[in-house]
Amino acid sequence: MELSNGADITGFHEEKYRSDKMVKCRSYEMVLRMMGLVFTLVAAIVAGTNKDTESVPISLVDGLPPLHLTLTAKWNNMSSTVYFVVVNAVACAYAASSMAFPALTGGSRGKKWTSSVLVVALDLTMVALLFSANGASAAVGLIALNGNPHTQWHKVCYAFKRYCIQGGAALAMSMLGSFFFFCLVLLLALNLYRTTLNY
Amino acid sequence: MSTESEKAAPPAEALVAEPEKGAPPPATQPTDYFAVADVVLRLLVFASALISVVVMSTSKQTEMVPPYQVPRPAKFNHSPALIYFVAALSVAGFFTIITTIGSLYSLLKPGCSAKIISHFIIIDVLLLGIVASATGAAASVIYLGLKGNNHVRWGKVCSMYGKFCRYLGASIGVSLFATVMLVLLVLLSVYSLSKKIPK
Repeated sequence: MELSNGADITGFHEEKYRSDKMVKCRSYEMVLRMMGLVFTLVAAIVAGTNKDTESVPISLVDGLPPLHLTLTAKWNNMSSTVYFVVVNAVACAYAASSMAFPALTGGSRGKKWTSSVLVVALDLTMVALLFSANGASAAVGLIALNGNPHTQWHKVCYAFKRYCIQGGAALAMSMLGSFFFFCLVLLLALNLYRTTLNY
Repeated sequence: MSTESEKAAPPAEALVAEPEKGAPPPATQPTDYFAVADVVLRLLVFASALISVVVMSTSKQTEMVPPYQVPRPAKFNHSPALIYFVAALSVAGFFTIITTIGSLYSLLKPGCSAKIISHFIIIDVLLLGIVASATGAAASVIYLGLKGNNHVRWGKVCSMYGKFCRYLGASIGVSLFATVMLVLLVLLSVYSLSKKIPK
């Protein structure tokens, strides 16, 4: 009788301690989701408002003075940038809606880890999509910056400097955002591992 | 460390199970099916990474270019994005071999599998990021080669080098499969870790 009572008390303390830790992890998760939301939103807006009009000198024939044409570079001229903007917008919307998940599954902390597998699946999908969008954008940006003599794709960034700087800024923001999504998955794995040890 | 967790686990379980006398003792599984599926998925990831690297690096094609009929080869290392793809998939294949060995070890010694799984989640998520970004980068460059871009006058490449582009497309498809398998692998690890929490 006495022994089982003592076990109950220690169990209660253990439970309280664990739930305190869990609440702390939840708040870290909220902070990470918030940061992911902010950075992907900024990336989508910066990349989606990217437009630059410049007068570009084009030499048609060698020896003649170059012809000045007014050309416009817009974000939706390049399909990889469209993909980038769409993925960042989707990740931003997901980060906003996923902050409601703990409220929906609230009250059942600790035991219901299997229900969080769906959340992990969506988080992982977002990580994969964001990283692929970053890769696509960076690869096309590198061609725009350096050109590719093998395929005769000439440089673009010497003419549209502001456009390229803005695109690079959007890429950096998106990379930060995807880093926070990455940390979100790692935090969950760490939390899960600690729960396994505590029992 | 592993023996410590093994030692620590049984008393805690006994403590939890003590109040309910009628509860049957937890059944011990002879083989952990999660670990078997884990090994199979890792082997699939390794095979697809190997196939995509081999297909990408054997995709050389030499064609006569129209104006002067000069033979000009098309190789993957003419584009930085495709070099990144080959490097990233090689790294992914290499790390998958290591984690397969570790997973087999945890299959033979089930005591310390929670620690191994939680460490492998970190490696797997990193590999997911690397493979996804490589796939995105290579796919965007190949899409440019397939369609060209009128706005910046980047011509099509695939109209001339048909076999090269087919090989590259196959390689991208296989690496996309590897990405999906990596997502499933992380999900399986999270699920099996959540199953290791005693009720």
